[in-house]
Amino acid sequence: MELNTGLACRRLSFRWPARHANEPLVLESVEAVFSPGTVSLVTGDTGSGKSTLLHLLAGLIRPTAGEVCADGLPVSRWPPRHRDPWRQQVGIVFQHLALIPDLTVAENLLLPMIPRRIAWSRMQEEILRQLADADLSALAETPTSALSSGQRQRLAIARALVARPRFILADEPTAFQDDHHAAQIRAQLCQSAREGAVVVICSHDPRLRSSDEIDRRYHLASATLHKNFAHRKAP
Amino acid sequence: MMPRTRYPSMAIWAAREVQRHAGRSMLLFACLASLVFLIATALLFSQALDATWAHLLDQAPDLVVRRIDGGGWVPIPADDAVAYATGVPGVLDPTPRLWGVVPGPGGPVTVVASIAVFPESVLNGMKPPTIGQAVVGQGVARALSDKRLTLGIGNSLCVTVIDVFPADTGLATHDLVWMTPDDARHLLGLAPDQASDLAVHLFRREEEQAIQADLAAAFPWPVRISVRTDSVLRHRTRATRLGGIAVVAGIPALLALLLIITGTLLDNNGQRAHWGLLKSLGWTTADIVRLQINRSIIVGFPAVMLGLASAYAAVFYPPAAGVTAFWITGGEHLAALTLVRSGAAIVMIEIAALVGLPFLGTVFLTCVRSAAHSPWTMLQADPWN
Repeated sequence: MELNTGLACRRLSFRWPARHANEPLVLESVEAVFSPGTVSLVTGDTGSGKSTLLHLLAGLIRPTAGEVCADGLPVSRWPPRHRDPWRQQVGIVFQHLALIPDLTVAENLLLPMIPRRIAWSRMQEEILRQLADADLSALAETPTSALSSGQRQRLAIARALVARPRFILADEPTAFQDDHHAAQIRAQLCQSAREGAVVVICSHDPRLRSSDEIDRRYHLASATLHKNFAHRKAP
Repeated sequence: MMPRTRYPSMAIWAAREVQRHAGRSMLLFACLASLVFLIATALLFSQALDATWAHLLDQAPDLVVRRIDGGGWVPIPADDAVAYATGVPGVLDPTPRLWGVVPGPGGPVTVVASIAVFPESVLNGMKPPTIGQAVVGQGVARALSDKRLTLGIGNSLCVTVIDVFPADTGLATHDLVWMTPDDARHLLGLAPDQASDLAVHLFRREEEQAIQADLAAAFPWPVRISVRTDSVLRHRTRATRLGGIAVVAGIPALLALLLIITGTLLDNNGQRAHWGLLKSLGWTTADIVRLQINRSIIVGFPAVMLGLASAYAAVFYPPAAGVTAFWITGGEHLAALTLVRSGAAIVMIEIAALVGLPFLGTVFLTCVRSAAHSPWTMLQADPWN
């Protein structure tokens, strides 16, 4: 067993079940390694399968073929009773954010902490830290439904980071942000990577594509993930 | 080993979930409390009535001998009857009793002159009436405007009420008027040596069926003999017949209603999507089940307690007890009925288990069934998709 080798896709294929019989593969024999301490960016056209790849990496869905390994362990093959607890090591930012609108900002941040064996005092510390990092300290008691799109997105990122997960998977994390907050989010994700986390971002955002802080770049097209080392420098 | 910090946070979040879904929680609370109240009231009443009758009849005579003829009941010659009964082996302490039903101010009342008519525990140190005096039950006392009580039509009698039987003996004394033998004979039209019937105690209680034939043969006139256990059975049957059967038949229907409501509240699209989100945030199926069980206990425990407390009050505390008795027995029992509380705790625990366990079982099974799906499938149920 490999120790702390991050997330790896091994001949990973995926096709949506129960649709058309001849439905094309969304992902086909994807090979990739997302190492700890690195920020990886996956780009691709709309519908190319970026979100599906993140969901596969997060263990939310099972691959049709191949496997997802975490630290060398084939987590995608594990039964739910093992995969569910493993998911505590994952922090995910959904494209649709998936916040609970009637809960306050602080309560949304509390949700991932509850099952993680964390003492109340540390929960509070982490929540306050994340609120400060996301510029949401003043809105801690505000219902999520009252936030703007940008604030909601920053909250979703804070929720993914609050429990200090080892695998951070973010789907379009800067879509609703101004430049200042986009840079702030980039910095947050890079900081997590520097602390040893695996960070995988799927995005169209040119600000991310052109960022120097991205360590690895991939492009998803025709169900295949291509490694892409070339990128423009940020102006 | 599970750390200690996990359960308080789960319980606190469960309380927040209850508050978050206040409408559903109130519906569940009301449903559970009503169900427990309905079941507990019926079963507690039945149990308490049994216990009360058993307590009262425990001190009653084993056999009661009444003289009859072609027209029905006739007075019994007291001294002769005692002599005949004493000759039967196994018979102890035959006692002539003087009693009868006469018209009173608020309806028929039962006049008694002998303490053998009712258990000694009912008297409980009360001062016996003298000529022209009476001790009356709560039901009779309520119909009086002053301390004078006029009874009968033909041989009418006016007595002074000197005391009232305690409320907790209401089951036996509600319509009772206790007076001296002379006053009772005057009122009932009995000669000085006559009694209404003969109370007999037995050396061995279990011989009450066997000794009936010997006792009947000992008297030179036809008699009808009532057995104590027959009285117990008759009272129990009467108490439970009207309400008991209906309630027992209704329990499965009520439980089914509870289970449907519980299942509906737990198993819906919004809930499934919420659980899918929790799973994607690191919650396991076991965590979700634990959360729901905590939530159900937070709602269910007070509901069950409230239902039980309401039922206890409705059965044991007048005037609610009178309404309950009227409801369950169809008005056969006295309004001021007061029941013995012994054994109620066990019945209440049984009822809590009868409702609580199926409820928690439903929560557990519904929750496991819904939360065991893959998180992605569950997330699809949500409006954000």
